[in-house]
Amino acid sequence: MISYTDAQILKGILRHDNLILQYIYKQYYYKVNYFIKKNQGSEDDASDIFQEAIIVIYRKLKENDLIFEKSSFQGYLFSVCRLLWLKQLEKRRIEKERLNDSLPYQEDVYDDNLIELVEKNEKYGLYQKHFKTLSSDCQKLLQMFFEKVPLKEIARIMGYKTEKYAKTRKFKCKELLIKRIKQDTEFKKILEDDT
Amino acid sequence: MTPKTELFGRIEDYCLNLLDAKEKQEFENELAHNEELQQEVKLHKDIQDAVLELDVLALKGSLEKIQKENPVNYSENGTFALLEDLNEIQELKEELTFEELIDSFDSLPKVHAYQHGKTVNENIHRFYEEQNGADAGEFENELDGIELEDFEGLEEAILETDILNLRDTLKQVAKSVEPQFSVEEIDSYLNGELGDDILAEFEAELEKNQDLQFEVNLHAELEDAICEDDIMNLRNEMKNIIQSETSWNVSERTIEDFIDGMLEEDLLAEFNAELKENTDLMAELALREQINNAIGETDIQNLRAMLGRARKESERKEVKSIVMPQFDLKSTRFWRNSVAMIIILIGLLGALQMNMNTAQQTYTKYFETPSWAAERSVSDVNVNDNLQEARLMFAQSNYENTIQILDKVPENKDSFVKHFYTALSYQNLNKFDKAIDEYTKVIDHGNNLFIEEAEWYKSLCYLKLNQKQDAKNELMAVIERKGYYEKDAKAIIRKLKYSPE
Repeated sequence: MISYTDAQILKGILRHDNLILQYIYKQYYYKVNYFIKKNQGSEDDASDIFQEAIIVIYRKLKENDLIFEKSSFQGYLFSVCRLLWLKQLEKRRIEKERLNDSLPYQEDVYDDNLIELVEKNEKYGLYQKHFKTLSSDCQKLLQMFFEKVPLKEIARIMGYKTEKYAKTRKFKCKELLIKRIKQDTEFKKILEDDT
Repeated sequence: MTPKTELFGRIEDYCLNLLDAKEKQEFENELAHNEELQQEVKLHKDIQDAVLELDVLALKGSLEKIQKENPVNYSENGTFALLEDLNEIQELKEELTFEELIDSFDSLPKVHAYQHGKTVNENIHRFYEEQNGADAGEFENELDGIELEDFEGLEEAILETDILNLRDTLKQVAKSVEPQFSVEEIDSYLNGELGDDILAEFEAELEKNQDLQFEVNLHAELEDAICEDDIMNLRNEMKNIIQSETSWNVSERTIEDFIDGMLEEDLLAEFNAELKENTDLMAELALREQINNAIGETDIQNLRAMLGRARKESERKEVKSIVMPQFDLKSTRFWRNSVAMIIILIGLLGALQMNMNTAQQTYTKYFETPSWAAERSVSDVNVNDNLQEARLMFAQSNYENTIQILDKVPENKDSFVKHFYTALSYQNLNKFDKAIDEYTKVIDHGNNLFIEEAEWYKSLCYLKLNQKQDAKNELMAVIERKGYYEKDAKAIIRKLKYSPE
């Protein structure tokens, strides 16, 4: 099988290159899966953690904040996966002390920036999850509003008679979204963590 | 203290102007200071005025009399009987003009009745119907047979004032913790659309109100999160990969080589290292080994083949006797024989089922002629007249003409289009050897978008020719590409493993 350098992998993640993403999955997933299953997780937990770790790395890359000095892509990925799983264990009130550390992680990766980013990713991921549960109309409408598309244009695209209706509909959609987020027990846990 | 009866007498005298000047002066002095007296006097005056409305009273009496003499039959829809006179007019025209109504006899009451009829279904009308005494009476009648004592605990419930108060208090508390600013207002604030006066109020509140700060933050974060299109796409992409891809880092061929004990030392060490932790790979390996074991059951396969032959022979043999032998239903031997026959028949059906899964059946299942897509070639081949004509013929399933026309297309760097559709045409004409030659040219070209399809269709040709090893090789190439046909190719390979050689 072809192997890619760390630089190629990072570039691949930045442009969502399917081949590279597949490569990452085939190359590293099973180790993460093994680690999580050994530490009271399930198959679903493993795939969620792996996916979110890639998203965290992507966020880091977008912020131009990812330089491997002592670590490698593999080390970084495993360290992020481990951190994410530790956070999950914390939320589930599971003892972390007896962790079966099968993943080769690097302690120096865990700086404040990463912790902050992981928390942001967790919160934003939850918002995005609920956003995806809205009707496609609501999703489209909110997205256009937030992308600052003129109200008149929004009303035209959505086929609404008046701009006022578009605005009212937007509030309804947003109200529903906020309600769903607030009702989510995960959100309550995030808030508990923040305080 | 003045007795009540005496007080009422004085008030009445005052209201009827029967007091002398002195008494009146005294009374008015007291009235100026005594609020209770003022209220009493007002009440007396009101009663007096009401009683004095003799005309109204007379009219009310007359109406009651009329009502008693002519009981009104309320129609089902609640309209007045007067409306029935309008039938004639309504027959002439569905919608009446105002003039038509005015010109008709008794027009004004009819206008009222007409409007009444039109608004009969309106909520307000229903509301007044509910106020109707007759209905209320009916309800009271319904309640007549019910003793309040029957509602166990009703009285106690009503008397639970502490609970009622607590409920009210809770409502008030709930109201007080509701967000003071609506989604609309918070949004307007974030978009800088709040008016100056409200903005000042909002900001003042925001400064000291933590809940409001939380709400505003949530709104702002939401906006950012929803705009993260790229993150949402990446997440989807990762989800798809996790769902559709195998999670092991070795090729199918390596797994097969491992099973066959053909892996070289380095590769073997690598494979074993992954196998130790990769549970998916363990499962795949176990499956493949089980399949191999199943295939290795030659005795079972021989038995199956024998049963197949027996079935064929039995089909060929003529029925020699048309007279059915006599069966003794009570004989245990008869039942034993019957059960044995049924078991053999089930076995034969199983063998028949296995035979259905032959390479031929697989071919029919998977072969599907694709539509013409010459636009996948690098240069603009659409301008080529011959290709245009060939496309037309191909679309009409006229494969012989397609081959003839494509034959005229000169060889160039884009000839893979010509060879691919020539191959497909041959395949449709069941000329598989020729099709394989043409597909090979497409694959050998090495740099075009038809290669994966050429490999796929070539493998199907081998399948049809029953050249299973060649078919398997091509299918392995398709799997390695991890493209559109990967899953189908894997499925065929598994089928080939099960089917007899």
